[in-house]
Amino acid sequence: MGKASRRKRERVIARERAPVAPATRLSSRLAAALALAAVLAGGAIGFIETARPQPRPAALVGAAEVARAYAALPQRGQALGRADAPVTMAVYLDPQCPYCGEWERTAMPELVARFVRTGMLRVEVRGLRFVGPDSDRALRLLHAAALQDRFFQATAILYRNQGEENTGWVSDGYLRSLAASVPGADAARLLADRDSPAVDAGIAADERAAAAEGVTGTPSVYLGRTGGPLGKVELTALDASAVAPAIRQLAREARR
Amino acid sequence: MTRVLATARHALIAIGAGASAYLTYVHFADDRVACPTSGCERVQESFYATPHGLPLSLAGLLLFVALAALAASRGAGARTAEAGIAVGGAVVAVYLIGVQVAALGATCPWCLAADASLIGLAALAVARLGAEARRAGTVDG
Repeated sequence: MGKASRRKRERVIARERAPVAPATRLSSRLAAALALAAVLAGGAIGFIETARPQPRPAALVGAAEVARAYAALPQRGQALGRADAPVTMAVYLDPQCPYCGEWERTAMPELVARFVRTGMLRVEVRGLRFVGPDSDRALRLLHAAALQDRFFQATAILYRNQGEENTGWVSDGYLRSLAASVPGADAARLLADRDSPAVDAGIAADERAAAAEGVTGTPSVYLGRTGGPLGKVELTALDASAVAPAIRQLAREARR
Repeated sequence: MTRVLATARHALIAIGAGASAYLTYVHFADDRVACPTSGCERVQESFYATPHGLPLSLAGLLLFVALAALAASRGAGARTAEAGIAVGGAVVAVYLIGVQVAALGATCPWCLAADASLIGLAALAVARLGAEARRAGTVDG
């Protein structure tokens, strides 16, 4: 055997005798590599995906119509109309109650156009939340809107986009869309104020007022001369005809 | 690892690190990306380029630096870490290529160069581990 071929054979033997990782050790190395890869890829993709900008919520149905209906009307907190209007109407509503939705969609536009805009009527709305958790979630946004004097716009848009009772329809996405739809409101502040002490106080005040009046259902409507006691109206219909004659009568009495 | 594969590994690290370094420079210099297509601006202006304010190109550069350091190191631990990082990086690279094609409808050649480098490095690392496994199987068997 030549010198060169002997060296070659020695190299082959040396390579074959070289320490090699046993299969079990190699499997654990493979597992470690895969685990590291999974952590790295999952972490990086998760990090990127959580930076995805939230899509701007679409405006809810009726927002433009509501903006026109309430434009330039005096509004403070949960009261709409001139403070010296001769007649005051107090309405108790639950955001989930379907009859309240019908009242809001049918009666309110006409009452606002005929009596509030002409300075004859002042409307105060108080929110209740007895139907279920969706009522509470919606009511909090309405009270947050009251802090920006946009309670009536928010309420009107909500009832134009009312869901089935207690189905979870007042989702975070719904509230973001509602907040973005309220004309002239700071949507981010609306959402942030939902759990504020001012909103808690507003809800508690409405519930105290309802208890004092003996309100047992919604919608409940009370009418009277501004500054005087208000009397309960037995609603025979859920449109303006249910209260219009009484408003005109009270306004005439106030002029005398 | 053969000399050819070692050279390929160094070349891929150099290409990926170079592309990432350039994009990082452009980001911090607030400069325009030299781009043969109109896709670079679109990709670099998307939220994918700077998630939570972190330039992804900087993260990529750090990844290639880590791979270079591991390539220069000896030992089974370094090889395992190199394979893990390369494969993880390749998965992210495939995701980012998908983002460019499907979500943004634009491609950035600099990004593609870095992505392709990571995929190539992962293939090399996996091939190396596979070769080791075959060798171990032969010896054990």
